Amino acid sequence: MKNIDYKELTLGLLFLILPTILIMYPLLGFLAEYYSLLFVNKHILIGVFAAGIITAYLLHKTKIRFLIIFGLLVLVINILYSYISSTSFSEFDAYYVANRFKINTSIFVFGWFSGFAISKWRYYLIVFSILLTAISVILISELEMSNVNEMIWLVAPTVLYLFYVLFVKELLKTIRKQEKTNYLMVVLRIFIFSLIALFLFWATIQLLDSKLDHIQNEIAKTQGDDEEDSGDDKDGKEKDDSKEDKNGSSGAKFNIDDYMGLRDRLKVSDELLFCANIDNFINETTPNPQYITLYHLNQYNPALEQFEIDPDSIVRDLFLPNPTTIPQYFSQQNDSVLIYDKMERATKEVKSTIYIAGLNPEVFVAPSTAYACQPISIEEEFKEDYKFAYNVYSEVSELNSAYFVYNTKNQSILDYQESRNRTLRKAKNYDDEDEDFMNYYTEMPVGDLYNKIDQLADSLTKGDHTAIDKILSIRNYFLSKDEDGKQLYTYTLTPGKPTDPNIPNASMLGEFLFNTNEGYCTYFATSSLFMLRSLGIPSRVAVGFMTVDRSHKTPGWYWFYADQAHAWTQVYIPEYGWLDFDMTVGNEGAEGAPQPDGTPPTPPTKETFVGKGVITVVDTISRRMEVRVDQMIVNDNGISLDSTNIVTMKFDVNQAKVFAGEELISLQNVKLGDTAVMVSFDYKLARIRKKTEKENIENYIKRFPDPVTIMEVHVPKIEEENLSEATEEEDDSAIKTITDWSIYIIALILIALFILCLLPICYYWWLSQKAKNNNSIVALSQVNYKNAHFILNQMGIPRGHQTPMIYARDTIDPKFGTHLEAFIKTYQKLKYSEDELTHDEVDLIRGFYTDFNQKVLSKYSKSEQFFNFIKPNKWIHYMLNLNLKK
Amino acid sequence: MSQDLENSNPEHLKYVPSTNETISSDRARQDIDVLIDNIGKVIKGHREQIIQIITCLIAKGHILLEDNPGSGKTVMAKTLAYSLSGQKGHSDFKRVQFTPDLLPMDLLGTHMYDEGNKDFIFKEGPLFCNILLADEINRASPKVQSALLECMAENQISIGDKTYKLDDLFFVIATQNPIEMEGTYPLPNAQLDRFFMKITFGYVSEEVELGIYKKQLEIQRSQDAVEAVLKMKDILMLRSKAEEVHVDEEIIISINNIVRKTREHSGIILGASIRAGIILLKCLRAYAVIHKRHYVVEDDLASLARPVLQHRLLFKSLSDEKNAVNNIVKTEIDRLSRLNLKK
Repeated sequence: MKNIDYKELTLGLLFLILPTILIMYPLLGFLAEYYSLLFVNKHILIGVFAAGIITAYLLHKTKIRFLIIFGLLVLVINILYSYISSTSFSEFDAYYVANRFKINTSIFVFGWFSGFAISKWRYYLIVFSILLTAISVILISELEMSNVNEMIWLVAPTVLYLFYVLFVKELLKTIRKQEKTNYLMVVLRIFIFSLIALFLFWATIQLLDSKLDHIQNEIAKTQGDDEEDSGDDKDGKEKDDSKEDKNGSSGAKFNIDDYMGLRDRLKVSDELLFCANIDNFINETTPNPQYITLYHLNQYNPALEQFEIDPDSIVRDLFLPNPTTIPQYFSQQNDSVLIYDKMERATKEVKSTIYIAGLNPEVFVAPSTAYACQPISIEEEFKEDYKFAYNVYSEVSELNSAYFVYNTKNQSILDYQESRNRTLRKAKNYDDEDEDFMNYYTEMPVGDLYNKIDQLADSLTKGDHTAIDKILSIRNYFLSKDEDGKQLYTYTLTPGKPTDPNIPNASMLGEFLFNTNEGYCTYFATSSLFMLRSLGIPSRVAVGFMTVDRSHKTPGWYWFYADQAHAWTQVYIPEYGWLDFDMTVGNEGAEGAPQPDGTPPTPPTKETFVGKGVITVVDTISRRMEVRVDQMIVNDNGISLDSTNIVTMKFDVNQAKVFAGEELISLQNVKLGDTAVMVSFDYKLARIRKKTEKENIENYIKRFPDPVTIMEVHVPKIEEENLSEATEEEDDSAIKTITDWSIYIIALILIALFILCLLPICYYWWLSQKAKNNNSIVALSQVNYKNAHFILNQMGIPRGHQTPMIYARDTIDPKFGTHLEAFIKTYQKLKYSEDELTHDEVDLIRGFYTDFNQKVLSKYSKSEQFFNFIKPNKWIHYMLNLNLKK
Repeated sequence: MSQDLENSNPEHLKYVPSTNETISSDRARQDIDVLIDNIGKVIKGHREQIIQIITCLIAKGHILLEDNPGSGKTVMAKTLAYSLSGQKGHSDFKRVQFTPDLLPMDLLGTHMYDEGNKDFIFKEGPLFCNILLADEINRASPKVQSALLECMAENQISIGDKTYKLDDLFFVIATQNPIEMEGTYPLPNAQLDRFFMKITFGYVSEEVELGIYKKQLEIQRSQDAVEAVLKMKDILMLRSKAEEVHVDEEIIISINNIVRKTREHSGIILGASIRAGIILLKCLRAYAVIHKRHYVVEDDLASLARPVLQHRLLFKSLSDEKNAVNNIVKTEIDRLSRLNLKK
């Protein structure tokens, strides 16, 4: 009958093997992911591993012929393998089965080896756990793990496991020595240890939490725009946002405010703000570009000579949504803005697509008059260039065109202009118009200057009867040449301050019209506005972007740079609504170097399914989501679900990108309860159409694949506050990326371990110094006593609960031939009596240190000495249990 | 029922100095080793128990041996008695076999009418001796037990209106049998408390037992002819020496801690009394003398705490009975062994 220690066996199984299997579970999962072992289930992997480790452990512990069994096993595996390889499966199957067999076998053998090693070698588990930590670190870097939580879940268990193993090994060792074991105590201890460990783990996560968010963003950002200097980009955006920040220090940044008033100089930049595809053509072939409108400026401040948006305007005909708040693929629409456009003649619906680059995506830009906005996805390869995109639907008059001032040789455009003028001449006059409307749009400030403008306008339009003729006369005035054949009016970005020193606070407008004749677009727009209004023609100033058609390769596509920001006049023509009339003269200097037009972004794949609803489940492991969908767009058919038939749908988000606003985030940051928009381009869904118009929606949804494969998930933007806080916190920190972080953590652990190993040696050295330098016999005895305990403890012979005397007499002196007993006797005399020591005793104490160390250490080889000395657990045991107390 | 045994062979007095002066204390201590060895010739493998008995002797206490029959209790007592020689040469050792029909007067003695003097004279009982072996003390009636225990406490006998002093050196070795409880009167806790220690012999190791069988005749012979190696006077000398033993403050603190912890321990129903602490202190002093020290060390405490305290306590469970005192003592010894030297 073999002598099997069942107690040890059970304890080992419970407290060493089981945690080892558990710790391998997530790791194997990640490994499977890393090597994309898609056809291997990780549950099977862990089962195989567990089988290996348990069998090997049991076999070795129960002292059954271990090696022979292992040999047999290898043989059986080999035979099986060759059988599988040679069996006539189809080619793919053979490869598949053989490979799976190979993987399972190697995992099993690894488990087998681990079980054997745990049973055989005392320190294997420590090596094993260090190995695990290393593997997890490699995995992190290899998998390019974007998620800090995921990373922690990978690293933390292995680190915890390392400490657990250190702890439990010691515990089991002490238990083995005891005759009778209190199992409850063991379980309790391990439980308490786990609790403490978990608490520490939790506390660390809590501590790091604020940092984590930021690290998360860093990762997302670095992944999002690889080499883009995102910092600068962001700065620029912020500048655009802040209306207070006038063209200050940073100079050339785009600021639309500059176009709203008359300044002495205008700074422009050539940053690409957005590009647009405007589906508006003359005769279906010639592109008819439209100005892009931002705001209508209805209010004029004569003192500042500046236009403002009139908050109390009697007409609300400007559609101003914030595109970023509209769920992807859902439209926001406001038909009420079309009161002056919809009913008129010769309008058509124009669809434009805007791709936002440098502009703040919250600012809505569109050809007038827009009434609907639908944010859309951007095709993958253009995501770096454009951060947001939306479709815009506008009612555009066929008579409206950017081609008003430009001289062109294109015959079709000339014909178009001519026919347009002809049509407009036939338009009705303003007699039938609403009085309030007319007053509002023909209002003029009072003053000498404005009277002069009135006179000028009257003189220019003598003999004209129709509005369009008057407009053309004014335009011709701006374009006219003086006696020397020079342009009367010239375009300049730096008109300068009024030069006449006699008139302080002289009007820039007066200066422009009657003195310098130099200015930029806002000057021309303002001047012509007042001229038109003095003639009783309702008009207003619009700011936005001048559309320039530079390239004939991509008809309908226009690029908008910051220097294309513009202000111009819009005139209301009865029956035809508001038409753009740009009076600004050509900018000869700038026209020489037109901005190059880029490649137009390919339109995104047709979305087949869009669902909006409240997130109820986010499973980050299998990457599934469940959403209570209340609105859907399936193949362009909007389906609204009311409270009676809201459906909870399952979505597969394995390939999905998650966006918060325009920022890429990871699935872990998706909060339950948020409203999400799920977008799918899955072609399978395109085939699923309603059988009949009246088909029950529920039945219809049931025919969808389950789960629906989702490519994009859009959730609300993460609140700015958190972000900026995190940014501030992180600003000083040198740690930028996640790799740095993991290296940092691991370096810390290694340093801590190293110091821990070094401590016993330091302690030994400190004791030897004290032994050398101490002359007091009491202190020397003290050092000797400590030293003896310390060295014996490090060498693996701790005193335990024996009294020092018995320990010395029964254990140490017979083993090493030292005089520890005699020393302890003397020591106790010093300790407990008031007698003086005899000379012999003093000599004994003086000579004891060297003698003892020599005799004890001579029994060990140098390497044994070293490895015994660097064992931190023993030293801790010594400090806790044997060291002296005051 | 009582049995007198004489042992006054002058040859045994070889350690008595010729000057008849008091022996030097160092000499007396040396003799303790001789005494222990002398007993050890007969009682094999129980050196620690021999030392504990002598500790009680020197600490002016009494001892209770509890063990199975045939473990050498009686032989131990006899051998101890024969190893000591009285000054006057008369027997110092008496043995009383306790039985249920034993009466107190059988033990103490009685007044008898003297025909010659026409008066009652006091006839001394077996109690008037130096070493009394009270065999199977739990077999006697409580009356007898309490009579004996009173004498043990007071060191005197009161009969009627007269009080008789006992010898200065009066040492009771009581034995009792843990099995065969039928028809016995187990000693109540209050009376157990009077005994300084209760010790058991237990079985000896295999080798020792083998040696006993092998050398049976030899042992028998030495049992029959025990030499007296120490005089009673020496014991008195050692007793006075024990009183001079220095007990460090930390040791006293530890005694206090141990005694108090027995009262607080969850596994102990009845803790140790103050008397127990005092007795422990006395025993420690005696133990130190036996080990030729005039100061007490932690090892003394480690070896004595259990035999002194164990029989005074009432435990909740068997495992507590086994471990409680040991654990308490262990922590205290740990504390002491980790103390720094006083500067």
